[in-house]
Amino acid sequence: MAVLKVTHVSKTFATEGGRVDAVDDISFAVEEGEFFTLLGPSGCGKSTTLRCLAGLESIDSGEIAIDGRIVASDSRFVPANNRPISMVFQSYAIWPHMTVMGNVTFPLAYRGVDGSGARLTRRERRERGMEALRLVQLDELADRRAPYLSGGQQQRVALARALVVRPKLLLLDEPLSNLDAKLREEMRFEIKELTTQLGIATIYVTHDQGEALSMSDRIAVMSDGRIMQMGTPREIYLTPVTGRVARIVGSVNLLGGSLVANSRPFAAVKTAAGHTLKCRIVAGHKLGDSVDVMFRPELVQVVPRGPRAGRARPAATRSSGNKNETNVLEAVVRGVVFTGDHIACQCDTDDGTIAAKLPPDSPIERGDEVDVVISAMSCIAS
Amino acid sequence: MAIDHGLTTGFGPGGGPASGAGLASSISQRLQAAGRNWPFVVAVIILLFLVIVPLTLLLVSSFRTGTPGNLQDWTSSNYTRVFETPATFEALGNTIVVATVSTAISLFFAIIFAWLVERTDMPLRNLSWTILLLPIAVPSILFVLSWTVMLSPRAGLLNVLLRENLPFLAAEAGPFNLYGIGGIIFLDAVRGVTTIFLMLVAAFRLFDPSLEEAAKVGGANILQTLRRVTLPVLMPAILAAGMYSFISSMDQFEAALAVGLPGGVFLLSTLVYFTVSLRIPVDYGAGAVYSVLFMAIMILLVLAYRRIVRHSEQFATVSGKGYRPQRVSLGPWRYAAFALVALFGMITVILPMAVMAWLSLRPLHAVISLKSDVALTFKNYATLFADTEFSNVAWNTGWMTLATASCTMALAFLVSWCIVRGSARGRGFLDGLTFIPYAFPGITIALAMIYVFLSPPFNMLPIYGSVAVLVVALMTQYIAFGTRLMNGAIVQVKAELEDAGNVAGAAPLAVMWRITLPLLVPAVVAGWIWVAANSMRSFSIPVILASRNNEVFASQIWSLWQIGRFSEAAAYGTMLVLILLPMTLLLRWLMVRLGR
Repeated sequence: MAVLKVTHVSKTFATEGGRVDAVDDISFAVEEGEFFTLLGPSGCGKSTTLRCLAGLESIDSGEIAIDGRIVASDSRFVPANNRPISMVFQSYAIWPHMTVMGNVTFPLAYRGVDGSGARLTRRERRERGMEALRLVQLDELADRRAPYLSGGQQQRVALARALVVRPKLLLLDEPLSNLDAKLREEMRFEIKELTTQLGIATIYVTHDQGEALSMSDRIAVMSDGRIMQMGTPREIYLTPVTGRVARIVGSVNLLGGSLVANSRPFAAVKTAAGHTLKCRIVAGHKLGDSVDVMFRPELVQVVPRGPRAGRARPAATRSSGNKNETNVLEAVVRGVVFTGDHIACQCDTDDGTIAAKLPPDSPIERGDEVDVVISAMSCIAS
Repeated sequence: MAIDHGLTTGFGPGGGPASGAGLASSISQRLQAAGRNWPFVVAVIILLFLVIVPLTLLLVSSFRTGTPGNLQDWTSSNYTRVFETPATFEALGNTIVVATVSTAISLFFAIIFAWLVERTDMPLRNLSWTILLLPIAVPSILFVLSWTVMLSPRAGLLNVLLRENLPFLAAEAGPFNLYGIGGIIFLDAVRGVTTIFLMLVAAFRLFDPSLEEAAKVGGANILQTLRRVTLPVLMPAILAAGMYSFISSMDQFEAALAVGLPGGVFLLSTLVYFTVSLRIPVDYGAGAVYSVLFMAIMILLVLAYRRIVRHSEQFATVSGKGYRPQRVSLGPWRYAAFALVALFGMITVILPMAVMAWLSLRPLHAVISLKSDVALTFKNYATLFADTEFSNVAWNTGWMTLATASCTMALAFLVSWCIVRGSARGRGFLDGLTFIPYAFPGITIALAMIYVFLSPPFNMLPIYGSVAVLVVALMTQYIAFGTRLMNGAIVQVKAELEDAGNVAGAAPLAVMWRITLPLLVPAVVAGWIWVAANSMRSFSIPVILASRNNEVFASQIWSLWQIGRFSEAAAYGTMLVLILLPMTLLLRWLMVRLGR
């Protein structure tokens, strides 16, 4: 059974500039133990969605069911304190007037454990609190006053406070955005491990594609209050349905053109400069449609052209077996930036500039004449 | 299955969508929504009672004949009577002259003091801060009365001293005569300095010194920099403080009563008082009209003040970064600067309190003179402590203070919580309601309360003539301050802290109690002390509403003084200051902590 079921939920805010559709008809379901991420740029509605799930915002239409019970619909609104959820806030929201233990055991006083609703004794609460603190390795700081914690420690306290009641559903609102880069990396794995270990369904809101891709079982990419695409990290990254999605999940090259062949397994797109590119295609296009061909910089190969390879060859498609077809474009290297773990390379073709991410030992220099090689598998037309 | 997180109270068991249960759940949902809104409902009801009911009754009474509790016919004769009296316009003119001149003077000195304390190398700056703050501990009425002792034209101690030592002065009276408009202006101006200083000092502290440094590099000297850069940049803050002080001066009562009336000078506040308390026969109709006019003027001023304040917030030049600005070096003038501060301390605190203490130690009916060589004694205090009248007054004062401070801050918290966290519509309404009392002069609040508690249905409450009526009136007066303070404090509590409590399972009220309120403790305590200190010092409300059973220190001092029992009055006064002094210092300490 789905722990969370969101059906056609919309939410509109009245602002000075008129009404804004913060959340526009979104639906999804999350299974037990699943790590589900809402990914999108700021203002895309992902945080509002989360606050609607938490019961901190009401919804205008649609229905939200948690653990089989409807918590928000046209005729019903269950406030946050009566929903079987926990939440970690972007600012951690650690109460500064309490100790670490006071923060962690606070929900126990109201919720009990495992949703039993049973009131616990002081002693039991403290034990549960210690247990939760041990999970996040903070048991030694239990009696410290909350303001005397570092950012990372506050983050862990917030997590312990969320986990202490063993919720059915854990909501995380950009929990890592206030940490420094190194700590962020660490916490990513820790959060993922904890939620997997405890088997909690988790909704994770972030604008960081790295976090989304590395942690999630499934991702919903949001933009303008809508879910643009939903799928596993690989699906989202490798087969984005639009350029917009592709850009939200990572950097991408876009070449415009028109569809000239809709064959299987690869379609053919003719670019403005007249090259024909083989690529996979998102369903729903017909011949003659103008489409964008997308491919990731790290899937681009740049091959130096020796004097021997100097023959003119307009946009060839090398065919060596069906699946391994590649597109080749001639280019001149315009810029090379060495960043340590890779080389960022800008190649000028007659269809525009293509970015490539090359291994750090690539012998590419500015001004080189090169072939840009992209496998047809990694090109998506949409 | 899942927990039924206490939902059974909100919805039917299991909350199944069976027919009939749908209607029931929709009703209970509405009830639940109303239940969630109860803080708002309670806040509105109390505020309506504190603000709108008195205002309305006053307005209605201005169009009726008769007396409070016994209103008769509708009439406009009250207004004709008032406008046909030349005294009306004279009092209005006097009030405006006093407010304008005294505000200008206090503004001038307050700016100098704020600049000296925050931006120069004047010595003993911490002590100066305290000196500038201390006048708060001296109730206005004590300050004013002690100066009448020093500067009354014939027997005034300072006048006598001057006449004896400077032979060219007239032998009978003078050289100073406190009784008159000059006296009111002097006393009001001196009292006004502290308020403005406190409002300005933060702006001076946070002022970005690089602006001044740029002027210096451009070749300007200290005075030119002050005049051409510092003051213009701080102008909005100065204007706001000046306007605020002007409004308080319009409302001022003590000096007008103690030195204005004997000199035959009426201000609006004393005119109201005279009309409903001293005149024979008293004229409540005219009193109501004066009050309405008074408030109309005040509302205009308060609206103007709001405009200015809004403007000054946009004009944010303060950087707020915790760096130490370079202080201006005053050279040898730094000692003169401190001497000026010390002189201020002499005038506002040391001399008045010395006079009061000295008076309180003199035998009961001794003539007030430096010459008479009567022995000083604590006998007055001993008599007082043995007297039941004193214990009654002390009891009344204590409970009035505690009740006013506690009720005001509790209401302020409730109202502010609704304003800051509530819906936009309710917010504006509550905000407006709490702002009206700013335009309520103390004297008119007191008069309005007479109307309220002598009229049905409120006359059924045994409130009129008791301490409770003082508490209600003082709450009306201080609720504006209380909500402003709490608004600011609640805004600083991040909403996510409350959301987190909500998500952790605590209902909104539990969140308010266990999270919001504890985080606001410093602000609540500071506000509590402020209201408590002001209630103890308050004068016009206790004096107008005074009866046998609700005399407090302030009204008792005045009634004893009027019947010539100066020593006892002074003993009451001295004790009051001894209570207010630590409160004031504590308040400053708390405010400094809050500011961090």
